[in-house]
Amino acid sequence: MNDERHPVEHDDAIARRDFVKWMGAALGLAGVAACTRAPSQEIVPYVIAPPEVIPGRARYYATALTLDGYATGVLVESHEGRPTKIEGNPDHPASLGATGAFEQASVLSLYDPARARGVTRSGSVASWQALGDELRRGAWTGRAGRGLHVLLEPTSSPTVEQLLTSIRARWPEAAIHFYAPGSAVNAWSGARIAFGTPGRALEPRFDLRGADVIVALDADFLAHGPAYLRLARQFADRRRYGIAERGASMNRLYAIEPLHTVTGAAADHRARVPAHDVAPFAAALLDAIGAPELAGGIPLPLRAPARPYAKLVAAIARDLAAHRGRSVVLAGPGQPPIVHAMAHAMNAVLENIGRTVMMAPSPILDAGEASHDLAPLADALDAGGVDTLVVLGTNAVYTAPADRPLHVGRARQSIYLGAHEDETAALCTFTVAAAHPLESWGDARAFDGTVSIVQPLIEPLFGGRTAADVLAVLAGTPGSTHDLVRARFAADAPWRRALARGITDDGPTGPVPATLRWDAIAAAMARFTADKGGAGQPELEVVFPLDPRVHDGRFTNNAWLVELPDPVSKLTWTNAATLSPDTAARLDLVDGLEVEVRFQGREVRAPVLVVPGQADGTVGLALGWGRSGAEEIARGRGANAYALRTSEAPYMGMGAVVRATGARRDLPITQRNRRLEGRDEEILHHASLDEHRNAPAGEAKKRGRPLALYDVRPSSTEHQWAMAIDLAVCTGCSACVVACQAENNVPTVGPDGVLLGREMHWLRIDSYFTGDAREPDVLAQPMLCQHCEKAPCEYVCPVNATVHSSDGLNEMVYNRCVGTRFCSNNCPYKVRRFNWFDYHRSEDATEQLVHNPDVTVRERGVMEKCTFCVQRLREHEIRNRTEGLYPPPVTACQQACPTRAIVFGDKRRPGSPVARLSEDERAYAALHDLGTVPRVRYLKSIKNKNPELA
Amino acid sequence: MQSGAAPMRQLFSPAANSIYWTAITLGFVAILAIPAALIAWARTPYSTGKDEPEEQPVKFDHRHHVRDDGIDCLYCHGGAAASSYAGVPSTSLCMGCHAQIWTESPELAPVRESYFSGTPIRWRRVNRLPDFVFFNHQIHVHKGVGCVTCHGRVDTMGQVFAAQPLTMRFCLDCHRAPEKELRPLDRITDMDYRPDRPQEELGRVLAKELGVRKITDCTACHR
Repeated sequence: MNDERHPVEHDDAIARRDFVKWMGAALGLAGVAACTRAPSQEIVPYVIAPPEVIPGRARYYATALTLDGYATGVLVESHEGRPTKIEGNPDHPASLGATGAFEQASVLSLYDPARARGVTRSGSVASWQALGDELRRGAWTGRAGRGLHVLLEPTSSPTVEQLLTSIRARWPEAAIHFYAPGSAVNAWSGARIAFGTPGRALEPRFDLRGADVIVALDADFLAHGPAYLRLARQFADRRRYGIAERGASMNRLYAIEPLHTVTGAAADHRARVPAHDVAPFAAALLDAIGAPELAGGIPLPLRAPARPYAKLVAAIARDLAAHRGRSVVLAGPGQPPIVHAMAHAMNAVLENIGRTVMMAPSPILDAGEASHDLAPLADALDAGGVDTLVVLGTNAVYTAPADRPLHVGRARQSIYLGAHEDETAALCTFTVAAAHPLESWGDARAFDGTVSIVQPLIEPLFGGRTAADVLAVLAGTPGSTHDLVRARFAADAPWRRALARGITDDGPTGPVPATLRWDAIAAAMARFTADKGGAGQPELEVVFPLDPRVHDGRFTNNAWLVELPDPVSKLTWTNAATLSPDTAARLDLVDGLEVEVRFQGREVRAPVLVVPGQADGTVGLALGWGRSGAEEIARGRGANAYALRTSEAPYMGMGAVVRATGARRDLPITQRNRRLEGRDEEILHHASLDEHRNAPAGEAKKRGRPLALYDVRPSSTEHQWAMAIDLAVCTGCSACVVACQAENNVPTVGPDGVLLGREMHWLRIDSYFTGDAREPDVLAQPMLCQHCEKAPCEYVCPVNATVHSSDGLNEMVYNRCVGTRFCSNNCPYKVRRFNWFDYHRSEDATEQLVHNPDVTVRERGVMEKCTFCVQRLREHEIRNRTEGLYPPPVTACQQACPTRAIVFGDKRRPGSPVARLSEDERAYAALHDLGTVPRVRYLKSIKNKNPELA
Repeated sequence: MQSGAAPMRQLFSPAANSIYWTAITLGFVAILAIPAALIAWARTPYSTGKDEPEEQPVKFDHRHHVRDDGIDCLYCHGGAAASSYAGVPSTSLCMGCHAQIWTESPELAPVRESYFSGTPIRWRRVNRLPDFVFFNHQIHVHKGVGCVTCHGRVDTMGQVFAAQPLTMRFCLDCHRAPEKELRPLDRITDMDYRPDRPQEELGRVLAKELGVRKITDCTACHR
């Protein structure tokens, strides 16, 4: 048979007959295995029970998580001392009860088995004591600290501030640096230009409650930044239900941006403008609004490149001018200082400052000072002037600009406090495992200066230390970090109150009066020359945004976040060189082709991803990927944008060259078809405010019960659970996706699993492009089990594993499921997920700690899907029926949602929000005509279009 | 085949037909009998562990503590009224009494050792439920289900054993007709409780009074 006509086609290791034999044997053995008894288990009670703990009942502790120095207050659910879930702290100004994807996923980072452990010296185990001895022996100790360099993340912690003050007093020659790729240095410089106040740079604090018109200049303020949860809430509160009657109060958002962001998707008008043209756009806008006090007006060369957008600029200017004192102009952190200064100027001209924009000193230590620049440290290292380098919590070797790498090895000794054995750890003499925020004592300020106490929920799992611990050694301060944090409180009562509430009694720091310095702005404008490169040849610009999933790379080892689909592109497990459709066509590139992106003589390889709505001539390459540390998940995924990013072009640069390498890469994208294919009426209702006002009546037919041969009415039990999702305020930020994953023990499947369509998210965000293919509107739709009253899945299950409960839930019974997948096949919403493998089996004992003990960990061969967080519903019922007046249940997605787009509750309770919303004139059921009678109702998406631009 | 060769040997013996039919029949019987046997086996006391005492690290005797000393169940298993989990007492709770009485008893050596060394006592679990079952003590205790109903006369057990099979049928029997088992709230932990009037009548009254529901939704226990 082995001749040419009948080659052996498959050289499989297992032949078919062998496979059948083994399968038969396995089946037989499985039967035998079933005849064993369940293994004997142990009960291990406390030796001395903490009086507040009742085993089996979760407790919540208030603490704070920081990102780039700014705190977000959270409540952490703890099961017998094991933190499992993060919720927002309603009392905290930066949270207002909501959380983002980073906060939700931080609990997975806590149990990451790749975390650094203990103290090491050149790779071998050392002790904390030995480290302290070495630190005290440095040559700098005899020279007032000359030769000691400390590099920290930007911080707002009063305790760290106090320690740094002690260090500066003790070692006056020591150098202290702060660095994070996402820090707000440009915003601080812009505020310095505009207001010129001494001391800490000012930061704008926005109050969008009073803002009718919002202009975002490359500012992704709905998904990034220290106050984004608060801003998203305020933004959404002006766009909520009942907008037909109160339409006049609906705000209008203009987003000017090069890459497609969450804010752009939520905007009413979005202009795709290359990053380099944002400054000219801002100048033209300021010019159109009018700045009479600006001597000499706005230089023409600065605003000339914005000519193509003249119509839009004029329309926005008129809209802004009509809303003096009731508008806001925001500038993005990547944009150069002049854009920030011009945004301040516009807010000043529009009389917004003091109304919707307050200027206040930044909570970040040394904000706006030279210490936030990495260059002096790089210089000192190169010059050999560093004896001891202490790097605290920032993976600076990886994130440093490509033209100024940190030659850590040139220091005599270096100490790195880091969460992982990452790029910086590899070069440092000593590494110290960093304690996770849920293992640490500390404090931190929110964007408005409110102080939160960071309190530990668990002993450090891997012997971690905090930055304050190391600084205390340098400062010679005795006592633990807890003592230092505690010592800032005079009495016990305010301390206890701060621990319980999550914020101290001091409240926010007040705004300061700020007067614009027009002369300084004029001077800065004259100095500013747009980096346009050579004229003539259409050049590409490259933009390095922070990644909405992994931020600056610190979360790249978090499987929940790397498998979280990008809110706009739906890409998972990697980054990509994003291009607009026209630019991709011009360069003859398509999705998945590998390209070499060359910028200023350096290059990286990345797959191409075409993103409609991106500016033409712009290449986007998100930061945070292409890691080369020892972390198992992060290592080698995606392209390292830091290899291109220079100190002159930290966010954007002209003159990138993109060239196909000929290789192809499969892109793990969760949603390939982004078109509604004309089924807008069935799937996603959307309209402009005017359209909606003029024609709401035609939709009534979509709301009634469809005709049916037999009707299943819900039974008359106490509760009938239902959900309403307001698409007018959903931004698609995806916090709910991670919240659901954390609450319901949803596994990750890896890039290969995503390529096969096996992702397990119970709640996904479908996002659709509508309108012009080049400049589409993006509409996000959270899609989860619709809990149909007449559920198609239930009819086809041969073993009754999915059935209906009396309170209106579509139940999934894992222990009955035999995995036929008929239900998934019959589900029109495609929300059922099948466990192809035992995704949880490979987890070690530490990783298992993240599981919610109230939810089954599903095994292979079982179907699963959204349960409406039934564990919370049953907990609510039991507590309500035994203790009385327990607060109404909230689902995990609802609790996390920054904009409160998701409303859940008892439909039978008259006047309940969900009952009201389900009857709202905007409410509709997805795929209504199928007659499934879903319990999830969507509310039509409304965009407040400017009539002038329609 | 060439003519003149020896007659070919019979391929099948005379018994082949009988063997064939027997095998087919046995095959069909096995298809029915094996699952039936497994289902039956899973319900045997051997499989459920019913009536089988576990060897515990401490020779704790419920007969003495409950019957002789009159200690209420909730004194040690207080979680039953406040949580899903009834709880096993901490070593310090044991020592609350045994720091005063029987301080020298060799039977109590493991307890003292645990207390002074800080290592917990590792008890053997007696009443096991599968991981996909979420039983909640709190609601049962507050809705008139006595300890004895599921745990039996623990006050007569030297070594505790599972008094009931804790199979799904056992749970559902009561969930479908809770009035058969309800008792007044002040007699929940009473080991000797006897209803003072016919149980059906009392059960109906109590069910109404306590607002007991007949919950047979799957997600009541499986989440």
